[in-house]
Amino acid sequence: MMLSMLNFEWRYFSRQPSFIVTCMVFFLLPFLAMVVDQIQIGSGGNVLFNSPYAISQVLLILGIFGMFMVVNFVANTATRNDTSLMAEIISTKPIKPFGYNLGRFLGAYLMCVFVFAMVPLGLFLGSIMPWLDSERLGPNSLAMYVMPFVIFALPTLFVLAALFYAAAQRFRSTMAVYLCALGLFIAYVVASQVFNEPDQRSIRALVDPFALNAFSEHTRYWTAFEKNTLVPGLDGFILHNRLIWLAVGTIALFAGGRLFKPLALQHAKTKRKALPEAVPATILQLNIRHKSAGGSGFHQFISRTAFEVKQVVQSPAFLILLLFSCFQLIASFFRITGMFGTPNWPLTQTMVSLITGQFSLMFIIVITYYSAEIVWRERSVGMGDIVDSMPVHNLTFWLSKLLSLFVVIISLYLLGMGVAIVSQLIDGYSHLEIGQYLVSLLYFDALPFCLLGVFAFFLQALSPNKYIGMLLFVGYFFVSLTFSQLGIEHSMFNFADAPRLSYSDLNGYGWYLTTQAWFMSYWLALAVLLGVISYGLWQRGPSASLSARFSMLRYQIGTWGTTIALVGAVAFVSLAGVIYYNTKVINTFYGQEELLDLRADYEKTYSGFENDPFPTIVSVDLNVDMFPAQRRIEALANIKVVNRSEQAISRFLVNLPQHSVDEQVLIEGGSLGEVDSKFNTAWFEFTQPLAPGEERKGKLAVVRRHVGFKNSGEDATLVKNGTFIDNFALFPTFGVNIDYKINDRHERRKRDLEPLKRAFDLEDSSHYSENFFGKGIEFIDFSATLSTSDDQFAIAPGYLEKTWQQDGRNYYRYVMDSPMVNFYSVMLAKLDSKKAVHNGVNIEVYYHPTHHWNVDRMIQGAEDSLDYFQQAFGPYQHRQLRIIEFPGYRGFAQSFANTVPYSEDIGFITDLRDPKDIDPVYYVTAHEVAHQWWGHQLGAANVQGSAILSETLSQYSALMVMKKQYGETRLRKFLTYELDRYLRGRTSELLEEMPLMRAEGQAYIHYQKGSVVMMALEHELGEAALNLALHNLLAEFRFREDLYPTTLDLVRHLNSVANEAQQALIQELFAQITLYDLRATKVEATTLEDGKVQVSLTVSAAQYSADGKGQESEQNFDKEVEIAFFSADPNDFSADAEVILQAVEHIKSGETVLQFTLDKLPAYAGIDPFVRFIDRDTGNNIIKL
Amino acid sequence: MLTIQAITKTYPNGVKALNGVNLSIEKGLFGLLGPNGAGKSSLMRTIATLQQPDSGSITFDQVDVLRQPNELRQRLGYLPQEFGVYPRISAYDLLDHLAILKGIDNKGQRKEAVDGLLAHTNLFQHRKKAVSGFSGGMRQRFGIAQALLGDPDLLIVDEPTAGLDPEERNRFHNLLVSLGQEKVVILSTHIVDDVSELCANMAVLGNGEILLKGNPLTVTEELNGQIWRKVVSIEEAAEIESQLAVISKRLFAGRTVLHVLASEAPAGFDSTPASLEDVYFSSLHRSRLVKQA
Repeated sequence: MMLSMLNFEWRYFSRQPSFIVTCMVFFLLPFLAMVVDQIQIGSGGNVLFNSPYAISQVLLILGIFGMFMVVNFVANTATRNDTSLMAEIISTKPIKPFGYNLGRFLGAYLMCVFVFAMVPLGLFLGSIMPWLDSERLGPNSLAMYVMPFVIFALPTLFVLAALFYAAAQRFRSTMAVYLCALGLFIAYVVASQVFNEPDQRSIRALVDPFALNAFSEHTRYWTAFEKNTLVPGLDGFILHNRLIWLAVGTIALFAGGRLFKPLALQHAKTKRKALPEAVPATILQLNIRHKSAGGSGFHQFISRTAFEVKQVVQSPAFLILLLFSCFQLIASFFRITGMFGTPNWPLTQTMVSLITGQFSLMFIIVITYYSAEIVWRERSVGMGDIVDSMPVHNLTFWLSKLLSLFVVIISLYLLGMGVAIVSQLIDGYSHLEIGQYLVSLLYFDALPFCLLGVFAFFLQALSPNKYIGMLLFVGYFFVSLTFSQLGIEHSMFNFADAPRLSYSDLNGYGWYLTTQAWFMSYWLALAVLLGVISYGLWQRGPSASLSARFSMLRYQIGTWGTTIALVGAVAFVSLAGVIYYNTKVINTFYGQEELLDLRADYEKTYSGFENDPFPTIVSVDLNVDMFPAQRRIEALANIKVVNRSEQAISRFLVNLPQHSVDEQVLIEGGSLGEVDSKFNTAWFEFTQPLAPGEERKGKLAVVRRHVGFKNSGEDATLVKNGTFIDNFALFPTFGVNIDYKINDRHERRKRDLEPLKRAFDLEDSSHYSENFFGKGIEFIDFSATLSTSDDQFAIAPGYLEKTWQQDGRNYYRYVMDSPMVNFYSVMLAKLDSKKAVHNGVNIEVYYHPTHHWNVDRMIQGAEDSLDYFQQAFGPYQHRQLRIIEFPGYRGFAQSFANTVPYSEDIGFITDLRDPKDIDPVYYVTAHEVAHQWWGHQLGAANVQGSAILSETLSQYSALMVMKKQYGETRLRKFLTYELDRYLRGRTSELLEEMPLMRAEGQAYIHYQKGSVVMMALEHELGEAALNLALHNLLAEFRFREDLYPTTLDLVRHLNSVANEAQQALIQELFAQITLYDLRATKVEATTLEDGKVQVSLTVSAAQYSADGKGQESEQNFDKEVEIAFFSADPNDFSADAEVILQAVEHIKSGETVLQFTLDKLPAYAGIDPFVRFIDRDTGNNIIKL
Repeated sequence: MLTIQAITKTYPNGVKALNGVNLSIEKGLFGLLGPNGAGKSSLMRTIATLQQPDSGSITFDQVDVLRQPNELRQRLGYLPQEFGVYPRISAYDLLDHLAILKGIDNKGQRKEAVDGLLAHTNLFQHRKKAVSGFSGGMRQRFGIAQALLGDPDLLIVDEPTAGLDPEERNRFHNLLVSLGQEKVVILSTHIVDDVSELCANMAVLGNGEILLKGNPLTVTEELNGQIWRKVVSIEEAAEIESQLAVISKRLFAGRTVLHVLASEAPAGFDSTPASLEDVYFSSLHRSRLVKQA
């Protein structure tokens, strides 16, 4: 019985079109993920395309998609007898229920397994495609494909199938099963969002039926080496997760699956019989012979549209869609996480981008489904013949149906807006910007989807049935994903595409209103043309062939239609011309590959000149006139240059700035040659060579302006409100620009470039006289005269000497009186400001009026930082410190001399109301202030490890200020984040992880590892000794230009304050990649007679040394480690965990049992609770009693 | 009024549904008889502008049906053989909506027509119920009501009485006759009685071809004297069938009644007056012979 049921299910499904389509989808998605560079899942960098990790990732992610397949098959099986009206026949047969039901269930389950087996198959076939880069593929083995399939796919499919089967048996309705699937998915998404804190990750790993979170926890810190070699096995989180869910599935199947229940008919709902109603005899006398009035298109259109909208809106599917979107949005609005897990205020622009992100893929599905559903509604319900023979013009059908699709799209966005506004209000944010919602969501998001809807309708109109139409549309979507791979990146060639909106509260919509208007008109013109063809070819009757409909095209569209189509076509072509002229003729457009090729050519052309000397700028007097409304800057710099090299300079390379005209480089005794338009470079030729040490005067002049509009690569530095541009972007630069070099080694290999050397060797003393800002960047004398329109103010480094008005413009004169690096910015904006004076230093914060929350915190942070740094490291070189907000097109804060530009995306919008959260505003402010010492007073030689001297030391300084303010326990949370980000950062290393002192611009090392290492040192050496070492380092190199420090100097100063054991630690931390594994494994407490508590704590320790690719070897661990006992959970700030006992114990490799006698019973015990070690997993350091 | 010339249609799967169909239909009720699969629905759909033939032409009162479908649709009422309805919509609302599509713009007129048609099809007391919940017969009556909306000049009804009980069938026939005088009504059916009761003209369609056309009375009279009847057992029937042109075979009180077409009485057969059914079966029989030959 069971086998024959199994067999029947197989024969039934393998003949269904949905089976074949799902098989294709589950084959093609992984196949494409393997062969298309742009849609890599899990691989990239040093991680191979076919690594066990990447294969598992694909299987897991598609497992979520697989849910919908399982719903389809299982619900179909469970409810088929009822829906196909076979129930009466089947129920009367002598069938044993258990075998029948189990057979049906297993049949449906095996179908799902069969379809899902397409995934490893697609991956495997993808991986043997001959055009793949063989260097990015590892050896294939059966286990790599089978193990993840067995561990992840089989149980996941079983759980889903069992749950859905039970639901289908219970509710006897496909819709109910879909609702269950939806509920499961929502629960999964919400759980993933809610349990996102580091200490909740184990919960998250277990409550996930798809095991995706279990796998990502399991592999959280896997390095490239591990990702390429380790096949995930059944242990740890994965094992627990699988066991839990297999149990859930089995229980659901046996308890809810009604396996043993005899088959029975569904109870038909007993309908209330209509009471016989007397029909008035007069009704039969009514005139039923009113004639059709003929061409009443308008009435028909109104009625038809209302009808179509009602059909859509009243259908249960629409309600489900709304609910689904609602939950999805609520989950994403639940906590808008900013830096270090601290939430951001729910700005409208943030809400909009969350809605956009949540909806983007969903809308492809919505349009696919609804275009088919709506276009073919009459055929599906069987009204086609009747309705099609009505005297209704094709246009009426097409347009009314299209409008009902638009209603779906727009109502989802309005729903999103409603949910967003409610969450904003609940969150206590009352600055509602309805206008921004409407423009961003409807004009920028919904409109393109509506146009895509027209396209989907067009495909449906051409198709003989809805499935082919859906297939065509989905096919188009997947092909469009690969457009960029094929070099089709211009929005002109991707239907309904336009430059993607990036909103800034400072600058509003900026140039995006212009681009959106042009591109949308362009696509609208095409949509009109497609629309006319669509209704011209509208299918009337069950089987009108396309050729028959073509023969009637002229008749159906008529003169009006032809005219409109022609107008659309002409508009389309003309707008194409306008867009082409603006984006390609008067502006430049590069595709990704094109740009990489250009950079490669630049490198090939000029790499021979990299070591050539060029003049160094030593004095700058700026004269900058800015016209923000026109986005125009006229800049002139009077400069003095010096030849710092040993040889005379007869010529040097000049890189001209982007978006500029009339660039001039005038230096006495020479002139700028012809401009190479490909690279936008020119050679400056001296007729009298610049002798070593010789100083000459010169001028740099440039007009930066914008004409027309661009497809991409807009200039975010020069905007209507919030201009922030530095000298490297504004003026011509000298010498070969090594930043143009391509970093990605695969891209380099493709272009026959040598492997990149990211930095000069630490020991290469020939670069010790070059600043890390780059060759030829030195301290300068600086002054600037800025002018701007009368509604904005302008800022440059230095002190405001005078300000005046002339011809309706504001003028500012800034002069710098202390040494400053030749790295400065010009800022221009209309902002509010708050000022404070602290021990003779003017602290000023300029901010957007609606971003006022954290201004005081920034001032506080700046004051505390100035106090601490002056006391610990040496005097502050300026009398002023200004923090200026700039638009969120760029998301960083950067320290210039006495000036800190600070993006609107960070800090200003952080929500600091919950004292439990880390305070990133205070931290970032302290970090940027610290750069006034580390970076602006202490330079760094242009060799490996240069960023350690600026960034790591700034991190340390900021953390010390944080520690003073918030205490050690709360610093733990910050350091836990830093350690986590370091460990994850190294998993996505593109080339090779370097030891700290040799870091090559690797942010996860110089920021994150730096924080942990420096705080460990601070603990080991003591604050005073460490600060003394840094003070001495600074004293040795402060403002020096002849010789810059390296990490060797840092280590030298550190060693000078350290004993021998400490020096060994410094070696481990700075010169090696060392990882530790400390765990608290067991704790037991017994209360003694005198009321004291005897606690026995078992800990284990291990130490590893890793190479640059992540391969580890075990080392001997033999160290002093902190042990602490807490009265409450130390992760919970609000609990005010008190340290009952803090001890230092000597621990060696392996397990150690420690005994303590405490005054009272602790709640938590931990080893290394304050993160002094680079521990591979801090989650197991603290244990609950 | 309606002229059909040389209509031929072959489906993509190779089935030749219509093969050179010529018909000329005047005002009044016209019956189109034919077995399942004869091409009736194909022909109906072609006339109802829902399907383009491969060749041939159809004109209705100077309207080229195939080239000017929209013009014809204003004068057309069509009841397809099978149809479904939209979910979640009441009979009244759906009929009202269809009335708008039919072009009855005047609100008062529309209400009158919709109420009246619901009453005529005995659905008035169910007008607020969802059509999707109707029984087969009720749904068929709804189909009839919608076909009559807008008083069409050309009314095409495909198997209209399928699923109706005898009372409802009579009611429909009466309605059809009372309305059918000034319009062309084409009634496609395989129930011979429907045609004999209603139609002044008829045609028999078999294998996509017109096998016979004319007035039911005339064609029946032409066959008088050629139909012979015998009541036999089941075993005997099989033997006779192999020898004679048996056009119909039906059971009556457990015995088999055979009708045979012949100019002279075969042995043991009695003369019987020709009915329209005999006409229908004999034309089918003849076409089968032609096919075999």
